[in-house]
Amino acid sequence: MFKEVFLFEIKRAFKRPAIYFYWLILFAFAFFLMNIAGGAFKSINMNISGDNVKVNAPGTLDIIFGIFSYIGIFIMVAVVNNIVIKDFKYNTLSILFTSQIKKYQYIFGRFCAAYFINLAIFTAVGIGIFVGTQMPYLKPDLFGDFMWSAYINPYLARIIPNVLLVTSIFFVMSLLLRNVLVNWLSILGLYVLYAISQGIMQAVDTRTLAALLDPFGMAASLVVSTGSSASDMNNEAVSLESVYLYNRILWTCISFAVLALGYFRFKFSYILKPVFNRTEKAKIKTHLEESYGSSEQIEKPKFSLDYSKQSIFKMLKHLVSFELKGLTKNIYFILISIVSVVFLIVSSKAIGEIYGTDTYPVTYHVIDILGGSMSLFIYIIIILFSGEMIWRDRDLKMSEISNSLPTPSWITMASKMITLALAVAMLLFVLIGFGISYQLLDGFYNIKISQYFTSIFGMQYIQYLLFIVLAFFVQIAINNKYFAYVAMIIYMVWHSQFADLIIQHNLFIFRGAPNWSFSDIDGYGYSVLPYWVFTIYWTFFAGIMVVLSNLLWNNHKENAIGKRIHILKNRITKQTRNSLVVMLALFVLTGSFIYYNTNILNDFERSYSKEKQQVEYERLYKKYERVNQPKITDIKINGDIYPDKGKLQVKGEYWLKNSTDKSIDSLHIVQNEYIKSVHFGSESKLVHENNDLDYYIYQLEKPLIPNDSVQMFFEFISEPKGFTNAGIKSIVHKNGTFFDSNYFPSIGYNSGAEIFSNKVREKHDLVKKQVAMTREDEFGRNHNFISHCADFVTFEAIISTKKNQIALAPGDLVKKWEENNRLYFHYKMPIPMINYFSILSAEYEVKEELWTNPATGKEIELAVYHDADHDFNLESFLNSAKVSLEYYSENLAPFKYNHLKIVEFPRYAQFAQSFPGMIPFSESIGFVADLRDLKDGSDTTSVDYPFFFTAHEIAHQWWAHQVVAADVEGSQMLMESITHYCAMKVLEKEYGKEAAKLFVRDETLTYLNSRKNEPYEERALSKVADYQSWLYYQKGGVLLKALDAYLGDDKLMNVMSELVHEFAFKQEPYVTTLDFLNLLEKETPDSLKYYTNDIFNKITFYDNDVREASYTRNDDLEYFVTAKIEGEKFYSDGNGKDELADMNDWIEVGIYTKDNEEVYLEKIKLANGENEYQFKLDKKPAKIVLDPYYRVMDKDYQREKFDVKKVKE
Amino acid sequence: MKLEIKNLSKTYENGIKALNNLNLTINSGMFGLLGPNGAGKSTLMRTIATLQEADQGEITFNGINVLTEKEKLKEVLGYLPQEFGIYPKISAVELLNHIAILKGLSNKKERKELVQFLLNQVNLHNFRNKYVSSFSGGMKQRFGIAMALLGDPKLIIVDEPTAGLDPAERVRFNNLLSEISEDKVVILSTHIVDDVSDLCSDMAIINSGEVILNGKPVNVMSELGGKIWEKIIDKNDFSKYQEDFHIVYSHLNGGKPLIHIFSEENPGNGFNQIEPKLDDVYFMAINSVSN
Repeated sequence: MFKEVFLFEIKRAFKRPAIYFYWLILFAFAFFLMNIAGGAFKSINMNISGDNVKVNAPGTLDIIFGIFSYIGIFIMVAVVNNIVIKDFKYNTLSILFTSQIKKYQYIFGRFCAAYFINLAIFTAVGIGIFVGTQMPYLKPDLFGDFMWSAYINPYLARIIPNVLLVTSIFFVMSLLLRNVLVNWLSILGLYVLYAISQGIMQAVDTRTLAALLDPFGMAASLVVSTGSSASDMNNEAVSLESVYLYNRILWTCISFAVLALGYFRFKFSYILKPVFNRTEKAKIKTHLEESYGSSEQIEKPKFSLDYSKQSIFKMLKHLVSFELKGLTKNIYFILISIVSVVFLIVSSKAIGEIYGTDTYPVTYHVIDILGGSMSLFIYIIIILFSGEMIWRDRDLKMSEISNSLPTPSWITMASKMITLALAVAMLLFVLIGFGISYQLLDGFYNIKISQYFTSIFGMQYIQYLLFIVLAFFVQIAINNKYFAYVAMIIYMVWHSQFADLIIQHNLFIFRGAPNWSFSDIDGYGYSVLPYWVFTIYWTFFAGIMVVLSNLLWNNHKENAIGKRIHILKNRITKQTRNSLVVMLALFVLTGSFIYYNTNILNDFERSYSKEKQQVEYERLYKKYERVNQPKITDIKINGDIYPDKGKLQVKGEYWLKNSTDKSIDSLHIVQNEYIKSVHFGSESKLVHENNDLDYYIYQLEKPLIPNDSVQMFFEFISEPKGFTNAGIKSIVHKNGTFFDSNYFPSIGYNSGAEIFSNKVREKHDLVKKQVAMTREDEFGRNHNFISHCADFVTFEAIISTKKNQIALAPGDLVKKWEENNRLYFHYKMPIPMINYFSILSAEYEVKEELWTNPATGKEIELAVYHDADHDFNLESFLNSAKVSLEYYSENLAPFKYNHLKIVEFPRYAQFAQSFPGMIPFSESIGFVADLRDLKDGSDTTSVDYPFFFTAHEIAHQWWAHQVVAADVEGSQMLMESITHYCAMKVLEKEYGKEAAKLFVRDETLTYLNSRKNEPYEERALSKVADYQSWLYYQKGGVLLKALDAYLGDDKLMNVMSELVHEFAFKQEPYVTTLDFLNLLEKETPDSLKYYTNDIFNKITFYDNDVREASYTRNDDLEYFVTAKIEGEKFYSDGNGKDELADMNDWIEVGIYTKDNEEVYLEKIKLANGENEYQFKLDKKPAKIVLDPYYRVMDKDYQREKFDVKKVKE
Repeated sequence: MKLEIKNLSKTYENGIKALNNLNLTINSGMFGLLGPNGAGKSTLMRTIATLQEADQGEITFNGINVLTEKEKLKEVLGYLPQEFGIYPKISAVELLNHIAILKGLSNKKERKELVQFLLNQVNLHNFRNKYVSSFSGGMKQRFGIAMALLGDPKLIIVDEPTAGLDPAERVRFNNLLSEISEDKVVILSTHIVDDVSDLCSDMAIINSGEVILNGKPVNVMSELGGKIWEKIIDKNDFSKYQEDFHIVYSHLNGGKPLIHIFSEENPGNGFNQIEPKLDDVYFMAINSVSN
C-alpha cells in the first residue's frame, strides 16, 4: 500500500507540467551561472570565488549547490502544496484507499513522494552546472578537471539533507494545519535563522552557535573552511567534519523529529472529512415551521441603485475596508508581521558591530535595517498576499457570484492593491514603533522621528508600491498562483543579483534608481532628486502595468490565452486607450529626460567599455611607465568649495624638478574630466592629446636639465551636470565634503589604472599583471608607495567655503578671513610632506585639548571636528591621541606637527586616513560606536575600536609621514603592519593583555577567512603586495605583535625606533623591508632566526594539539603536569598548497586554574610529532592551552582549552 | 422584457461543442431550462451571466447586448451559480450588505431595509448573525437567492438550485422561487423535470447544445394528450417490449419496470392511457434527438 500511495503521487506529479517547469528553471539558472562565470559573455565579468579558484572547482560548486538548496525552497513549497493541500481539496486519496490504507502508509507514502519529487527537481542543478561547464565557447583555462566528487559531495552534504528538512517541515505543517500559508511562515522562519547565523558568524565567540543554528549549513561550512586557500577550494569541497558535520546531523534529526511529530499528531479521520470546513461548527438545522414563515407579506422597501462616481468611490472604500479586515485578521499575516518584528529586534542588536563593539542605534541604522534585510519580509508578504487576494474568490468558489456583480472590475483590483499597500504601510508603522522603542530601551534618546518618515515613506515606500503592481500584474497575467509565485521569486533573484551586473542602466531595470543614502552630517545629500526622477519614470511604467492588469483581470471563467486576448481587446475603451497613451507618453518623456541626463549631459559607460578603455590605456602608454619625468616639489592650491551647488573650483600650482641625471623634454600629464587647463612656466606645446584616456604629453621648448625646475599651472572645475545613472556626481557634498589629491593632475603613467584581474586581462590578451616591483628594482626604490610623481613636497592651500562651514587641509592654519560672505582658510605645512593630501569642509563642532610632550615640553593642539550629534566618543578619541602620541614620541621619534585634528566625514566612505596632523574619520566607524558597556566593565569581550583606529592612524604620522616606503613588494608591511603593531601596543598599554589578545584573535580570524579570495598568489609578509590588505593589516599586525613577545624586552620597538631614525624623511632610495630585516637581524638571537624567517619570508602554519594532560601533587602542594603535545608545521605556497616542514620550534604553553588564573606561561621547544613535557606548578591546574596569545598562525583560530586531569593512583 | 439568444455557439479547447447554433427567446416569467447533464445548460447560463465568451451568435436582453455590454447587463442581473462557496467567518447580514454595496445600493438606510426584507423573504432572518458558512445546504441556497435578488434584477439566472437538497428544502426553495418571478425574466436551469412543471410558465429542453423543444409546459404536454400509455411489465420482457413499442421511458415501480410508451392508438396489451406528464415530454424530446 505504501508503494501504491507513493507511485500514485509520483505518477500524478509527472503528468503535470509544473514539475518540468520547475526543473527547467533550476537548470536554466545553473546553466547560465556557469556560462556567465565561464566567460560566455565578453562584456560581463563574474567571479563566484577568488580569481585563482576554478569556476567548476569543488569548493565553488559546493557553495553554488548550497545557495541553490535554500533558494529552491520556493519551488519546494509549490511541490509540497500540490501533494498535501490539493489532495485535501479534491480528496483523491480517500476515494482510492479509504478502507485499507494505514496511517504510516498514507503519511510516509506521500512524504516520500514529495521528497522524491523535490530531489528529482534538484537534479536540474547538477545537470545544469555540468552542461553549463561543457559548453565549447567557454574559456577552458577557467575550468579545472571534471570531478565526480564535486557533484556528489554537495548533494550528500547539502541538497539531500536540506531538501529533506524543507520538505518535512512543509509537509508536516501543511498536513497538520492544512493551509499553504503556513509554509511561507516556515520559509521566513528558516531564513531568519539563516540570516541570524550569518550575522553572528562574524564574531569569534558565537561562531559555533552560528554554525549550529543555520538550518542550511552554510554558516557551518564557512566556519569549518576558515583558513582554506584557493588551492583547497580547487581540490575539494568543504569536508564534512566538526561543526559542519554536527550541523548536518542536528538538522537531519530535526527533520525526522518534525516528521515524527506529523505522524503522531495527524488524525487519520482528517482525510475523510471535508477539509476546508474544519473550522465550521455543527451545521444549523432549520425547523420546518421556520421555513414557511414568509407568509406575512411585507412590501419590498423602496431603494435606488446608484452607479455614479460617488457610489463607485463608496464601493471602493467599502471593498478596501472589507479586504483590509480580511487581511489583518489573517493569522498568517499576523504571524509574519510578528516574525518581522522579532527579526528587527534581533538584527538591531547586531547593527554596525565592529570588533565586538556595538554601534549606537542612531536612526539611520535602524532605517538601514528596515530598508535592508527587513525588506525581504515585506516583499514576501506582497508576493504571498497578492496571490492570496487575487485568487481568494476563485479558491472559495465565490467568484461566479462576485463576478456577476455590476461593480466595475477595476474597483475590485484597485481595492486589493490599495489594501496591500495599506497593510504594508501599517506594518512599516509597527516596525517604526518597535525601532523607536528599541532606541529608547537602549538608552538612546536622540530619535529622529521625522527621518523615519522621510526615509521610509518618502523614499522606500514607493518601491514597495511598484513591487505590488508588479506582483499583481504577474499574478493576473500568468493566471496560475504558484507559477506566478515562482516567477516573482525569479524576479527577486534577478533584480538583486544579476540586473545591475548585466543590464547596468537603471533605465532598463524595473524599479532601478540611483541609491539614496542618509548621513547624520550630510542628510540625504544630493541623492533625493535623481532617485525620484527614476522612480517616477518607473511609476509611469507601473501605471501601464496597472491598466494592462485591469484589461487582463480574470472575472470570468475563460483561461485559454486566445479567449483572454479576445476579452482584453473587447475591454479596450477609449478611456483605457487614452490612459495608456498618456502613461506611455509620460514614461517615454521621463525616460528621455533621464537619458538626456545620464547619457548626453553625462557619460554612461557600461563596465565593458570602461574595461576596454583600461586595456587601451595600458596598450598605448605602458611603454612610458619608466620614462624619466620630473617630480613635484611644491604644491599650492587655491580652491573654492560651493556646498549648495556642488561646485568645486581649484587653481593649482606645482613646481616640477628634474631629479634625474638626464634632461627631460616631454612631460606626461594624466588629467581627468575636471581639469580644464594645464600650462607651464616655460614655453611648451601639446604634442599628444588623448581626451578619452586623459593622457597628455607636452613638449618643453627648452628641455629641463637635471636639478632644474619648471612651474606647472592647472585649473580644475567640477560641477554636476544633471545626474548620472548612479545619481548626482559631485565631489563636493552639501555638508561633509571630503576629497583627496587624486583628483589633481599627476605625472607619468599610472599602473594603478590597469585591469587588475588576470582573468579579465587574459580576455583582452594582456600579459599577467606585475602586482609589485621587486625590492631590488631601482625604479621602485626611487619612488615611494603613495605617489610616483613626487618625493617630499611643500604644501600650501587656500580654501574657501560656505560661511557656516569649516574647511580643512593639512598644515598649520596661517590665516582665516571672511570675504564676499564666504570663509577663507589658509593652510601651510611647516615641513615637507608626501604628495597626498585631502580637503574637507563641513559644519563642525570642535572639541579641543592641549597635549604636552613630556620629553620635549612641546605643546600640541588636539582637536576633534565632529557633527553636533556625534559627541559620544570624543573622550576616547582624545585619550587615544594622548596615549598614542606619548607612546610613539617616546619609543619612535618626536611628533613633527603642531596639531592633531580628527575630522569626521559622512558615511559615504568607511575608513579613517592619516594626513600630516589631520585624520579624516568616517562617521560610521567610531563616532557612533557604543562604548558604554565597555567603559563600565560589563563587556569584556569587545575592543574599543575608536581608540584603536585612532592609535593606528596616529602611528601613520610616523609610518608613512616620516618613514616612507619604496613602491616595491613589502612596502605595506612597513606602512601598515608596523602601524597595526604599534597601535596594538598602545591598545595593550591602555586596556591590558586580554584586550590585545581579543584583538589579535579577531584579526587572525579575518586573515584566515580572507585567504581563499586571493586573486594572484599569497605572498610572504616581507614581499606583500599592496592589494593584500588581509596580509598586511591582519596577518602582519598579529605576527609583529607575536614577534614582539618572542623577542621580549621591547626589542622590536627598538628596531622600529632605529628604523625611524635611519629612514625618516629619506627619499630616493626609499626604505624597503630588506632594511627592516637587516636591523631586525641584529636584535634577533640565533635561536629565533628560524622564527623571523618563518614569519617574514614564508607562509607558515602550525597544527599543534595537546593530546593528553594530567597532573599529580606531592606533599609540598606542588603540582606536576605531564602533557603530550603534538606538533606539525607547514609551509604554504602562493596557491595555498601546504607542505609539511621540519620543526623544533618555540611554542608558548599556558596553564590555567579553575578560575582561569594563568599559573604558567612559557615557551617550550616543540618538535614534529608527539612530545612529552612536565611542568611544575604551585597551584592546582585545570586547563592547558597551546599558544594562548596567538603568537603563531594556526588554522584552528580557537585556542582550545584542554582539560588537565588528575592522575588516578 | 425579453431575452433573445441567436445562433449561439461555443466550443471548448478540448473540442467539446457546448453550444451549437442555439436560438431561444425568453419572455418574462419563470422559464425552465431542462436538459441532461452535459447538455450545455451551465455553459448557456454562464454565457448569459457574462462569465463566459461565446464563439459566435448574439444575446440581447432588453436592448442590452449581453456579449459586449457586460457591465450594463450586470446591473440588472441576479445570478445563482450551480455551485458556490462563501467567505469564511462572515455573517449573513454582513455578506448581504457587502453584496448590496457592490450592487450599487449606496444609501445606507435603504440598503439596510432591503437586506432585512430579503432576509425575511428567504426566511433567514433568525440566522442573520450566523456565519453563512455554517448554513445547511437549503439555507445556503436560499441565501444565494437573497444575494441574487439584491438590487433590482430584471434577469435572474438560477443554475440547478435544488440539486442535492432534501425534499422539504426543495419545496421551500421552489416556493421562494415562485414568489419572485413577477415582471422579471427568471431562468431556472435544472434536470429535475418536476421543478419545471411546478414552477415554469415557459420552458425549453436543450441537448448537445441545441434547443430541441420550446414551449409552454401545458401546451407541450397537451400535444401528447392521449398518446402516452403505461404498463407494469416483467423485467425479462423488457427487450421484447422495446422492440414492439416506442418506449418513452421506464422506471421501477415496486421493483418492477413501469414503462411509458408513445402510441397514437390504443396499443392494447394491458396498457393504460395516462395524462402525459412533463417527464414524458422530456424523454420524448431527448430520445428523439439521440435516436
